[in-house]
Amino acid sequence: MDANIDRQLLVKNYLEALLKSDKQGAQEVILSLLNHGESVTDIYEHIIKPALYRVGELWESNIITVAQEHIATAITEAVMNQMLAFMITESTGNKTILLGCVENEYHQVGIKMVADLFEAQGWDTHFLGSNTPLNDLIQYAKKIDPAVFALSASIYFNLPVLLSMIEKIQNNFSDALILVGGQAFRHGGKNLLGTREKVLILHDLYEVNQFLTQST
Amino acid sequence: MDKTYLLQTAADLFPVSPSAADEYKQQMDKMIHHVNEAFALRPDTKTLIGPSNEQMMKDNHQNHARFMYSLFIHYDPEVFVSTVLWVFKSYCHHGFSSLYWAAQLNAWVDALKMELSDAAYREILPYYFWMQVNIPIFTSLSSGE
Repeated sequence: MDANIDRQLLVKNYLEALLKSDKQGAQEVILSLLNHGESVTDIYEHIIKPALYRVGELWESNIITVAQEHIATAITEAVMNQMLAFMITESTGNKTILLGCVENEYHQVGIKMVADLFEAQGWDTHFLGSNTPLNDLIQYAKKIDPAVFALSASIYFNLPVLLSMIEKIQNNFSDALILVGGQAFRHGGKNLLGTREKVLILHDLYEVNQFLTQST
Repeated sequence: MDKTYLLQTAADLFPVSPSAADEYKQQMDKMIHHVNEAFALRPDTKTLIGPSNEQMMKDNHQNHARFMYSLFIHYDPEVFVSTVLWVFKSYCHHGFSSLYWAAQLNAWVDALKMELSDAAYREILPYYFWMQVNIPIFTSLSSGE
């Protein structure tokens, strides 16, 4: 991101728009950055992610309600959908990825960001969203036979569920690579995964881009 | 006593065996039910949790069990201390009294005793005892943040 850009101010402006349910204001903050030539990855990592983390902190402090938190998420997802228009390339049709959150995990914005980056690189992208029941995921995957799965867990106590999902996916798709990530891995989740083969932890969107570069 | 003390003492807890962790998981729903029931029967629950917080309390009991199971299958003292601090701080901001934690942990110990085998109970109890004795430190640290 351009060093002359005041990230903190932009995060503050974006956050204020979210808290006022001002969808247009939020869109304007992001569109000005896109028009300035900033990358979607930078905007996701340095503006949207910190703003949403702050939304979570405000709920924790009882300064905003769950309803306000949900509105902030909904506005952000709408903004992200608009951003896709700035990044879409034609599908290559020969690489398929299936993405979703683990069962009982409702924080889907992070994995949606990952889905957008894959889609922008022309992958055939299947985004299942939050709280994906494992059996349904497997059934769906059998129809599309993805080369890569990407699973997200934000909450530490969802890691055991993630482990079960990995096991079942590997039993059914032995050749597939499984990418995992999310806030749950900020606290030692890496050790929990051990040395499983064909499982890769990606810590941020720059690592996702690195993976995409190496995959081409 | 501060967070360093909590981390040091948490690191002394003995890892739970896979069989005890599995038993905890198998009995989780029953134990959550016991804890919810204990609060349903208390005359002072509203004082302990604040107004309109019943669902949030039940969510906490469910999340507590899932979190403890995660810890039992892979113990990390830093995760334990940080998460308990976060929970104290967040729930306190939402109107839960500091007295709620003692009541909740007592209810969990009763539920463990009712639903777990003696062997699993003996392995898991030290984690709950550790939380019980450290309630004043957690309360102090979380209110000071």
